[in-house]
Amino acid sequence: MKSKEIPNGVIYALAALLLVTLAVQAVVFLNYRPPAQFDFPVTGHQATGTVGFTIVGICSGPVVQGWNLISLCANSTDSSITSILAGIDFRFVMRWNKTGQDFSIFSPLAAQNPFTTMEVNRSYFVFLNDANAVIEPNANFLPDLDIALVQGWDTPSYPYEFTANFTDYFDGTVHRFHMKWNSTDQEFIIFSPRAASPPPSLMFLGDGQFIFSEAANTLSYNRTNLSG
Amino acid sequence: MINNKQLAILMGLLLLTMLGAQYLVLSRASLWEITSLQSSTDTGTVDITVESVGGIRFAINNVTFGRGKVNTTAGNDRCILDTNGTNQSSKCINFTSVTAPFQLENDGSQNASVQLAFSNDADGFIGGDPGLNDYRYVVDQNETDSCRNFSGGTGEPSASCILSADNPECNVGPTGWAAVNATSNPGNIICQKLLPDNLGDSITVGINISIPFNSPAEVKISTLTATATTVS
Repeated sequence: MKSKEIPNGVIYALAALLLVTLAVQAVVFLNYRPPAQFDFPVTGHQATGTVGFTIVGICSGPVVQGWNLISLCANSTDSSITSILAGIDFRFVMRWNKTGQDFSIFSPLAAQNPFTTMEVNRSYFVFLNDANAVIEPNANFLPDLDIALVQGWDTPSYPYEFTANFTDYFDGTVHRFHMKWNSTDQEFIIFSPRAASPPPSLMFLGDGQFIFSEAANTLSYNRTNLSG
Repeated sequence: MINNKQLAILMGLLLLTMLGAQYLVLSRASLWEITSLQSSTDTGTVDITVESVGGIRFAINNVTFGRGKVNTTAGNDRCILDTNGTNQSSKCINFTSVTAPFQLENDGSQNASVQLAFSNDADGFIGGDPGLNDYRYVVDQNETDSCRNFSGGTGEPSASCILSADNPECNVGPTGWAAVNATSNPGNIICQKLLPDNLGDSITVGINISIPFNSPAEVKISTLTATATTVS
């Protein structure tokens, strides 16, 4: 007996079902995302602490926000301004030009500057934006010093870490005026040996100064005599 | 020539095979929800179960020796300070005496191995003459038997005991002043197993520094990072 033939409609239905199944599979595989794998050790919590201190320079004097007249009382291996004032928020450094009797100005923002180092035999005006500064290098103390002064105003350093009286080195035969800087009031304190009541004459560590000479001369610092 | 019956059987088998394969794939991948057919956005959920986390905190997190300088006028070449109160008055000027070391406490709920890293060593932290500067630390129990050795015992380590998984009898260390090395996190193990019990869950980290006369004048900061990892 001849088997009954399957109608074409059934074949078409099966083919359609096959196509739908294929389409569903295609969608499934295209959207397949492997499950996320998290394989890490359970490590812990962290906490931090800090240990700190501040080294002040061996000749750091008090400073203020604004202009300060300073000098260095220690030799630094790197005398560049950027090294000596590293980490300090300052705006200007002014150096007295003894020949021209005017100031040269250093600015960290300038493309070029007339000077870039700080010498131990000069005083400098430094404008600080922050009073919490330590502006002195920490190195060796300075020995006896001879500093050549010109006729007119000059700015020799006060190069020692101890307090001294500038009348011990102010030579009244050739020096006419001495000026210190009052950083609180931002003005000079002028000393004249001829004044009826001259102001205090103590020099503290880190202080700068101006001296007016009637002739060129040499300012001789004797560390032993001054510290005595 | 293939007839309709043979074709139908063939297609039926193919259909059954594909449906079976599809069922297996979807049941393993749990992807019966095909989001792209339902929405233009893609969403997902990640479930993470954290069974335990080591918890650590600095109960004392700051050691500050203040502002000062080396008294070089007396011929001294360095000044030594530490958290045991050492502040050599003849060699150090104006620094602050410190008697409280760092204190680390397990504030988690599990035993924790503690590691400690330092941001810098003596040269990076203190500077100056490398032959004169020193930056050292020491670790000790704060509350009795807070830190146990690898097996949970209270045996004290010898002075030379260096903490590691190879030295299971050590509990805290170093127990004598040891030079600080700059290390990346998590750093060296300083406690094998710090207990979480409130009455016995803390250790101390003491600090000792030697400041050379020519260390640059500036603010000095070193950061310690403690990491706790849960252990059984």
